[in-house]
Amino acid sequence: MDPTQQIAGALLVIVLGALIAVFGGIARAGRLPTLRPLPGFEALRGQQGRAIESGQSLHLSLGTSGIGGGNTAATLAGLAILESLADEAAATDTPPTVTVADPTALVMAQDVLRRAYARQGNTTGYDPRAVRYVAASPLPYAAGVGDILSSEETSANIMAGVFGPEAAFIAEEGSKQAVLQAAGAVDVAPLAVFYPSVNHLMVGEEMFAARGYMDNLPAHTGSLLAQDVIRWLLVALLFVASAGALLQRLWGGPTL
Amino acid sequence: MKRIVPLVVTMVFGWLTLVTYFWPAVAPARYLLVELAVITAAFAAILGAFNVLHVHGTRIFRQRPGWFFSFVLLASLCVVLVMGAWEGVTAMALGQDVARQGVSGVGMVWLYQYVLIPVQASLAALLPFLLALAAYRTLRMRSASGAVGGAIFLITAIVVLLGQVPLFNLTLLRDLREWIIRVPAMAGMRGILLGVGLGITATALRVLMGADRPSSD
Repeated sequence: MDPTQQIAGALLVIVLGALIAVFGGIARAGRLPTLRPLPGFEALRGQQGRAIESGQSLHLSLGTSGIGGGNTAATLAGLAILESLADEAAATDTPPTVTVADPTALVMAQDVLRRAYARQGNTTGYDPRAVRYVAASPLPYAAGVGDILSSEETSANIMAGVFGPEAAFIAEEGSKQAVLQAAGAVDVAPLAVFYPSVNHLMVGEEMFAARGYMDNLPAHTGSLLAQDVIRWLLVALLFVASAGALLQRLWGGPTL
Repeated sequence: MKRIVPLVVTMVFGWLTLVTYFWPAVAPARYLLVELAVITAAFAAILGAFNVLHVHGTRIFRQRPGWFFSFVLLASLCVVLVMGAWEGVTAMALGQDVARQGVSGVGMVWLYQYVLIPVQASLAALLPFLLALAAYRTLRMRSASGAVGGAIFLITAIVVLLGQVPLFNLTLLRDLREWIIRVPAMAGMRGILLGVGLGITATALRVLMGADRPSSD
């Protein structure tokens, strides 16, 4: 990173951190903002309950990323969705099936489930096999998850994490089984692949908003507000820079 | 104590790693932390192998549907494991680099070249057909918005694909393809990536500030 990028990065971290703290405090004080509805999370709410009623399980795919690399945040976003679903699952002893392609994600997902069972006082009900390490590389992972969707009774298929174009195999199998599908990814390619097959697409940062929407956690709601403020600032900055470049081209002057 | 220690460790190591990006003088600390993370991940890989054995062993033992595939998987796992170990031991006897020979011996390379790569390539070759099928299904959606979206999706895909074919030298299609990729696709992509970047930064900051506790309590 050159010095300008370092300063810009540090500034972004400081301002976003301060805004998260401020808005998190406001949300904690009970002055929660109204969040615009996101159909993906609306659909997920109560999905675990429906899975229990139908005697089927819910499938959550955390994609190919793990903890420790550049895609840690995407894995954490998937784990946040799991955490939102896990309590109800633990209370009724119907764990969701979680599939991972990275052993670090396996350990974390097992931990999230185990904690949920412990919170419900049902430690004996916890089965580590609910989280499955399918394969280490993307294509075998997608094929393995497709097999799980086709051979096991599943009521909904949720995908959140890092995926590539191979995610089409998972989404297609979900479509074939006619299960409700919600998907989010950090890259653009899998979003294009998901678009024709899934019912609810979580575009861009929507995947990271799970706990703010599903559990109304103040820190997460405050974080969403902080992200919005920074986004508007960036949009304004882009607009000013574009207008400046246009004016410079029309009338000449110093290059921006 | 059980809640505080993981939280403090996460925060300290997280902030330390972040600071190294803005203060290059302490960058060696990051390399050390990354090395620690790699070693920890190696232990997680062993747990991953046990998970595969546990899940598929149960499937075979209880004769659940598809148990034969589980058997093939475990048999393949054993073959690769034994072959890697055998080639590693042989390399050690010959005084070669054991760690390197264990994964790039003749047998392992053969398996990789003639089993893994062809199977993965065949699987990848199915992708365009899957996508075409999915796009067709989207077109048949009953809702008007779904149908319009599906139509735009399909037309764009056709234009981009045909614009790439050098067969007819259709300049108009090629220019249209260039424009689609450069202007609307790029604008949408940047918007999405900007949002993802903010989401990632906010997630990381929540962990660093202790507002999120992904680790065990």
